[in-house]
Amino acid sequence: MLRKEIRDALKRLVESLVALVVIPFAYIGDKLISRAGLDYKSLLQSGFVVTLLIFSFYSGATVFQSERKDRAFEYLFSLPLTRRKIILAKVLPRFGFLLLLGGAATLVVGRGLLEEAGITCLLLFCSSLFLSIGVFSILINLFGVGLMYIIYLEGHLPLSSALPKFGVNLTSRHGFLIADFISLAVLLIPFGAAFWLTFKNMDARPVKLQLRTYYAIILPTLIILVTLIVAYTRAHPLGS
Amino acid sequence: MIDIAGLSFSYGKTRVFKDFNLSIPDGQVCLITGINGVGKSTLLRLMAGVLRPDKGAIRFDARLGPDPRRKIGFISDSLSLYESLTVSEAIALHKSAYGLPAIDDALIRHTKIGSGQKVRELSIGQRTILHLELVLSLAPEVFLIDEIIHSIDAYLRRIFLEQIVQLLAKRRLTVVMVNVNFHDIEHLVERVILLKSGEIAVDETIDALKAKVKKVSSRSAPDSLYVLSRIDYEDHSDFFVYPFHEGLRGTLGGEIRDLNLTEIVSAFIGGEYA
Repeated sequence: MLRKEIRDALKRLVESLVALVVIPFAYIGDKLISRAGLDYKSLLQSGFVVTLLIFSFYSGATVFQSERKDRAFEYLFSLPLTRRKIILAKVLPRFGFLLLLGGAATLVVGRGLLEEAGITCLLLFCSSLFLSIGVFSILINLFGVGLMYIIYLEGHLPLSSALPKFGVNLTSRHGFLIADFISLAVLLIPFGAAFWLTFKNMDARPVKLQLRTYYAIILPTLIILVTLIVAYTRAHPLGS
Repeated sequence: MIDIAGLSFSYGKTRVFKDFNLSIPDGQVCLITGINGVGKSTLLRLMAGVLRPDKGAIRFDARLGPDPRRKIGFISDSLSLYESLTVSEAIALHKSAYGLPAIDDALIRHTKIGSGQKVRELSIGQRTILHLELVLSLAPEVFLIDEIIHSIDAYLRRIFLEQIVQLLAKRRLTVVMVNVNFHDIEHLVERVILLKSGEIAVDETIDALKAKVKKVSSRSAPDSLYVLSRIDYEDHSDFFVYPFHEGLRGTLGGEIRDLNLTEIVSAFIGGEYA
């Protein structure tokens, strides 16, 4: 099982790395045609960050792709594997390759930029993974991840006014990271719980018939978070 | 022993079973039949552990261990496998998931299935044989077979059935088959269960069933006997009656005939559609 998942994760990685192949062509094209004076190193750095973001999303969103495409949920559930083992076998190789790609990107891009991209990658990976169980289309998953990213960014606003009251200095790098992680956790913990509770009880019935718990957690979470953010934004208009 | 107690199961709002009970002793070869959509394959999937009951429980003999799936061989009608894998990759996955030291691929080689072929490229017959090979590798204590064997050619079906016969000869294997066509498995079956509206309508040994279901050919319907179904001809009708007993032989007008399993089940199912 693990070997198959490693192979699947590797395929997703290779597909994501296609973004890097474009870079030499873009550079040569610039030299020959547009002559905008693009710098190869900065092109490569941007390419690595884009690849990292693509893989973060893509590897999470396609975690059940082989079961869906191959109609193999029934076979998967007939194997003597616990749901926990199945999820670990699926998530660990993908996360491992994400770390590996992140390491490679750090070497090329440098630490500073990667620190900023790191949390975004974590958000993309986890949110696309957690959405993958209830969302069958990659495009809709991407839309959902975009929505979650907006909520994550907007979640900083109430946090930035609340955290200093608890002695967190938001002007420091650590203080800002704390705000990042709290905003991330508020969003991902309910989605993660919805994902796990759904998968833990899942069987070979059509997936659409098994999403009651998933939506029962996700929809109120979204409503509460959006309401809180809207209420905060109205109470504290920009520039006030 | 397979013990199903208080089982309830639905597909969304469609209820399939409600408080369903069934017990199948070790070593019994049991046939589950009924009209399409009555829940035969669902029941098999519940036993295989790929569907989970909404209520109730399915218990297996303790010798199957804490996770009975290790000793359950399940061949479903969907022949679900990872279709994008090659045959050798599918075998390797199966081997590692079950922790098997090796899988004998004699059947696969015998039926000319290439190890580098993708599972999705295999015919239904070849996929069935691949499934069978995977299932046999578990040395199953319980063998669950959906009606897929009717989709395969006569030669592969013979191989399939020979494997079951060999297994039955070796040890007390519990076999549950879902079927609507029985001419080549009749000699294996010990017990017949007919499902109707998610409940057991008939549960008899095959000998008892053959003794109790008869075809009476006459001009008029036999009194005092329940007619499962009938076929009308110009000069007479065939009445499939149940339960029949030998004391009735002299009292009924017309010819009384014994039936094979296919005819018996057809009579029950025909009654459902009447």
